Parts: sequence; structure tokens; C-alpha cells
Amino acid sequence: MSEVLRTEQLRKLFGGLVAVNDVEFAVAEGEIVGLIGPNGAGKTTFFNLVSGAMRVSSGRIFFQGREITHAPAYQRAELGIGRTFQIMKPFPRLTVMENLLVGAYLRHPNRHAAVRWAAEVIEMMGLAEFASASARSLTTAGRKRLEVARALTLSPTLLLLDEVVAGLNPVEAEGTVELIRRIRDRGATIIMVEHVMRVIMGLSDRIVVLANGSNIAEGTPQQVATNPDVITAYLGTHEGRDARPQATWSPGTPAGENHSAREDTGPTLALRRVQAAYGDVQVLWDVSLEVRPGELVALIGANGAGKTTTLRTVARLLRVRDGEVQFGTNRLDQMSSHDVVNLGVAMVPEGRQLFNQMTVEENLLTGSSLARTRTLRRTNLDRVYTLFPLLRERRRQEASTLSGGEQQMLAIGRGLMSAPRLLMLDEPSLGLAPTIVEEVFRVVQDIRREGITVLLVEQNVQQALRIADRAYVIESGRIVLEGPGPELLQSAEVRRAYLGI
Amino acid sequence: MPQTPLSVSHPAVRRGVNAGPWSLGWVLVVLAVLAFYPVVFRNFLTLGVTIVLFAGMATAWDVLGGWTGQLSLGHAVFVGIGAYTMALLVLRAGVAPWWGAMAGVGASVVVAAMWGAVTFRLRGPYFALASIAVAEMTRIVANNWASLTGGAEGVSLPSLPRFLGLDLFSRRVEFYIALVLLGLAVVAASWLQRSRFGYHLQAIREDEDAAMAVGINPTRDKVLAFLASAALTSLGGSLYGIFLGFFEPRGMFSLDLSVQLALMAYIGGVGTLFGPLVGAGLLVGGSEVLRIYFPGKSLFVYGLLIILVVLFAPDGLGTVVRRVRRV
Repeated sequence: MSEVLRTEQLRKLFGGLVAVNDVEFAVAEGEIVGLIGPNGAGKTTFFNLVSGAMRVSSGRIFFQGREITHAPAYQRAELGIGRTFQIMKPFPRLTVMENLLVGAYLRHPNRHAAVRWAAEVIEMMGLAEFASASARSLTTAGRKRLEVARALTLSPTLLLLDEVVAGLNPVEAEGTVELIRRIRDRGATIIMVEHVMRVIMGLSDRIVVLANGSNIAEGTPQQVATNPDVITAYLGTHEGRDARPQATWSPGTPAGENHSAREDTGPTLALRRVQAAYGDVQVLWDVSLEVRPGELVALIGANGAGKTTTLRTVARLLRVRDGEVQFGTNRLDQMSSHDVVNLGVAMVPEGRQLFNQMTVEENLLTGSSLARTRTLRRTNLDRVYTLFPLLRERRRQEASTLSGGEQQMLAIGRGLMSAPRLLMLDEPSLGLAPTIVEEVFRVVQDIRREGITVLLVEQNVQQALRIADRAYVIESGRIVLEGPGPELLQSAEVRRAYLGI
Repeated sequence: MPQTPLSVSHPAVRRGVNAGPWSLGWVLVVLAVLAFYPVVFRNFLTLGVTIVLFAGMATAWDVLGGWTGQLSLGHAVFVGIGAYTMALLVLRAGVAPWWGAMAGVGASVVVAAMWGAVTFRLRGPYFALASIAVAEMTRIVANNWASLTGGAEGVSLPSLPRFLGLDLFSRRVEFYIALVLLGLAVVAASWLQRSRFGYHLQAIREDEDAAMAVGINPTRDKVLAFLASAALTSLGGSLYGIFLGFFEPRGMFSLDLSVQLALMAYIGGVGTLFGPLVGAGLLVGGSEVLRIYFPGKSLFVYGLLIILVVLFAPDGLGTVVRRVRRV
């Protein structure tokens, strides 16, 4: 079998961040290669480098033995590299048929032949009934199909598929899987990025694992899924085992105090059969969970499983389609988002979402803009500064000048400024160095010790389960497992949810 | 992939490709109807010439602005180059105006090629901003290079040779020349609606990254669209110069003129065959009517009308017709 694609020492820098780090990669003709890795591993960036949407920082790319490192994207398409975009990019005001015609013209300059070829692709993709509809009127599933179809009109030798299954319902997903097989059988070589592990494990001949931009493992699906490095990359490290007993971060908390002994218990958060959707894509199916006063509950699951969406439904950033979200005696699903905050539910969003041009203190003050908390501003500010002495030192600094770890502390501090009774943390350790990650987990424990109930979403599963009283595992929008944190740590089910085996 | 024999079974597949050959039929029908204007409205010939001439230039603008999605607010440059090249060659070298107009097209194409090669690296609002800058620079140069252009005093065309035995200063003749120009522009647009090159431009307009991913070279195609747009606009400019008989850089290269062309296309509907014509009719005709019925307040009412269109037909008035027809 001849080689279709090879990369040598491929590297991409974004400022100081190494997004793709000296990746060596080769694909043989007719292969289906799965490219997996946790969030931010560099998968989509790798696609962008291969397709020419981004320039490489260093290294070389060869396509069918020919160097294409510096060829513009349109030349690579001409050579036979087709791609889809994870964030779908249809030509919205053109009809579905015209979307395909644009690509068909590349191989068939004659209009009649181009229309014929586009029509063939549209039938093969099962999009014929939408041919005269504008691309923007398609559903998400339809648009994902259109992405694949448009790439196919190029008759590509190499097809790069970026999450074409994620977000589809099981029936649609099955259809797409079938389609990918058919495309391969017609002679195309395929590299696919996909978060739905069952799909990628079932389809791929070979899997390459990226983590932090580097190629950390490679092999058959079985080999990869049992590789300890891969498991660590997905489930987090074992380090920081003794983080639990130390409470040096919060001088105000009496040492050894047990959280369950506190009297101020507060209300219980309860989700009952919650359904939620983005547009026509249902993300949560019958999600029920409970967070009791003073508890630290972890919600874990693979990328795209619905963790953030669950938090968003509680914070009322997303409408609940059906089901109930109850906090004490209040129905959160019938309130506005600021009323939810006023009741004492705060969310620290993924990616921190700070106001970068504002100072540390200004950022904190925005967290207490509601009537209930405004009067307590000074008290809360002192509390946050006691918890994070570093923030007091830097209170006049712009948020953008803080390090990643400090920014995370600031985001948590801002959440605490609303004097919450329930704090929801979305991936607080994401993108931080291991030592900082430990600090973050210590802080989370301290917060709980102060009597604040915590609902934690984390990708560092090991650490999260270690400190959690209880945890829920969510898979494809459904809660599949519930139990005490340390117990789940041993569970094979958890590994299955992440790695699909 | 193997070419299997195809049964295009679904009727939608055929309908999915816009604009069969009959859209060219519509173009001919509309032009034919317009050809009766001088007969029916013999007392409003100047208005008619203005509408048709601006419709032609706005349609030419739309090749770049609507079909390719590159907002130019500097198209007055080509109007000015067309008018000045023609006039100066007539006055200084005794060249016939139609050859002068051709020379204007050549000059405009050269300017557009250089301008496009530099500014099409910019995306989004930056191209629009750069286009204003280029147009303003051109205006200032034309205004101050008095030895070439006559400067702020302007240029006047006292007499012109007959064109195929026709008097070029006759409004009736000017109307039909403008109509031919509009015809050229609309036929070009109808070709863009369905040709390979046209789909390239539309794909660039819709999403440049996705366009590149299907093998389209956006910079090259944008420059080509710009050349075509500039050439057609320049022809309009030459005729506009004759129509006015006297003009100066302040008017010919003005931002107002550039904005007007863009506005006509937007009001009527960008990236449509007849949108710019509808827009020109409304804006030119409308401002005449308003001047008569709301003396002194016409600009106010004009502004109101534009706001109404933007509010209720954000895709242009042309699309309202389509929406109504669909209902």
C-alpha cells in the first residue's frame, strides 16, 4: 500500500502555546485512521495544517510523496484533499444542490457534467429531497451531511472528517457510520476526528492519540484503549493523592471540621428527567440528579456528553425542554438566569470568561452586582482575598496579565462574590499545569468546607472522583452511573464511557 | 470514484440548480419594456437616463459587492476614470468619445488590478475601509493635478462628433446607450448566477474558508470580479460624463457617488439580477418625486424611506417580490 499522507516534525505555535508539537504521522492508502485526544489536544489544528487552512510553524507535509507544506488550501483541494469543518461552514444562501455544484465544478468544468456529478453525490448522501432548499434551512444533521457531501464532490483521495457524528441522534449516527464505510470502499483514505468513542473505535483501522499537541500513542483500537498513557491522558493523573487532608489555603476554616457537621445546610438541587436541546439537537435525555446540602458532587463524562449543558440548564442559560430543575422549594427552570443567581446558585464557566481588560478587583465586583449581594460586597471581597491572598496582591492588575492558574482562581473568586449556596464549577483544571491543578482541587475542597455545596464538572476524572462525595457519569446525554466518588474510581464503566470499550 | 449511470430521480435535484436559461428571457423582457420608456415618458427623458444609467452602474457594482460579497465604497473612482479619460482624450487629443471610453475601460482595469492585488488580502470591513481611502486619494490627486485634469475648475465638453450618425447630447440617444450598458451588466449578472465562475464568486461570498477547501483561489477570483466590475462601471462613467457635459473631481470621485451605487444595490437587493435596477428606480425616481411633493423636506423623507426598507426588507425590495410570489 502506498503512502497518502506523511508529516515530519509538524509543529504549530499560537503565541507561546504549542498546539501541535512535532507530530510524525503517516497514512496508507485505503486506511481509516481515527485521531483522538482530550479537549485542546490539537486535533482540529492538525486538520487545519494538513488542509492548508493554517500555516505550519515548522515541519513538513507530504501528500502522495509530494511536498505540500506551503501549498495554499485551494491547491491541496485540487490535489485531492477534501475536508469538513467541525464548525460547519455551508454556503448558507445557496441551495444544497448549488453547494455541491461549487465543488463538482472543480473536477467537471463542463456544466452538464458538474450537475450530473453533484446529483450523484446528493443521492448517495440521501440529501436529494433537500436539493432545492437553501443550506441554511437544513437541520444540524443535514448540515453535517452537507459538509461530507461537499467534500466528496472533490472526489478526494484523502478525506478529513472533523466530528461528523457528534451531535447526531443514534439513527443518524448509524447512517453516517455506514456512509463513511461506503466512502472508504469507493477508494478514499480517511482521517477522522470524533468524540463519539464507540464510533471511532468501531470504524478505525488504526488510532492515533494526541495529547497537548503530541502524538502519545498509536495502534489498533484495542491497543490504544488499554494503553496506560492514553488512559492517563483521558482520565487524569494519580498525582496529588494526598491533597485531601491539607487545608492551608483557607486560614479561616477550623482544621478538621467535617462538612456534614455544619448546621447551615441550605436547599437541595434536584434535576428530574430534564430534556434539553440546542436547536433541533437534543443533548440531554432524562437527566436526573441530586446535590444535597454540603455535598461535593462530580459530574463526569466524555467530551460532548452533556456536562456543560447540564450546568447551563441549572443556571437557566439554556431552556429546559421538559422536566424540572428544583432548588429547595424553587423551580429554577421557570426563572430567569439572574433570579437563579439571586437564589444563591453561581456558575464558574469553562474557559473562565473573565473581563480581560478589567482589573482583578473589578472582575470580582461584577460578581456581586445583584441587590442581595451588593451590600455584602466588602465582606465577600475580604472572604475571597483570604481564600486567595495572591488576588489581593494583584487586585489592581488587569485580568489578562494573570497566569492561567491565577485566572482560574479569579473566576472562582468572582463566583464566590455572589455568596452562593451552590457553586457550579465547569472544568476548573482545564489547560493548567499539574501543580496548579492540585491547587485548584485544594481550593474546591476548601470552598466545600466553608459550607458551600459544589457541583463539579471535570475532565480530570481521577482527581475529581477522589475529592467527590458522590459522582454521576453522563454518556451521550444520559446519566449512566451514579455512586460514591472513590468507588467509581475503580469502575470499569467509567473507562468505558471515556474510551468506548 | 466510478461513474455509475445516474437516474436523477428526485425532481428537487433539478430545481436545486437556480436559474435555468429562462432567466435570460426575463432579462430580455425587462429590457424590451424599458425600451418603450422614451416613447411613453417623452417629457421625463433626463430622469429616465439617470435611472437607467445608475441602474447599469449599480449592477456593475453588484458584480463585486453582491455576487462576490466584497463591499466597495470607492467605485466612484471608476466613474471618474471613465469620464475623465474619455473627456481628456476628446479635448486634448481629438480622439472620438467611444474610443476614449474604451481607453477609460483600459485605465480602470489597470487601476483595479493594482488596487485589488493589494487590498484583497484584507477581509471583511477592512476592504470596505481601504476602498474609501483609495477613492479619496484619487479624488485629491484629480483635484490637484490641474495640468492634467483641469483641477477644481472641472472639464466641459462643448461638442462631440456624431456616433453612428447620432447626436450624443440627445437625451434619447443617451437613454438607449445607457440601456445597452444596463443590458450588458444584467446579462453578466445572469451569467454569474449559473456559471462556474459565478458559483466561485458566490462561494467566496458565503464562506471564504469553505471556498478554498473546495479548490477555489479566492484572491484571483476576487480580482477578476473586480476587473469586470470596474470595466462596466467605467463605461457608465464615460456616458455619465457626456450626460453631464460639465463635471469636476469633487462630484465625479465623490464618496457620495460611491455610497449611492452601493445603496441602490442594497435597497433593491444585492446579488440579484434586477435588484440594482429596482434600487436605482426607487432612489433616483423617488428623490425626484419627493423633491416635488415635499419641497425642503425631501431628504428627510428619503432617509425615512431607506430606514423603512432596511427594517422591512433587509434583503432588498427585490426579495419582497419573491417572497410574495412564494406565498
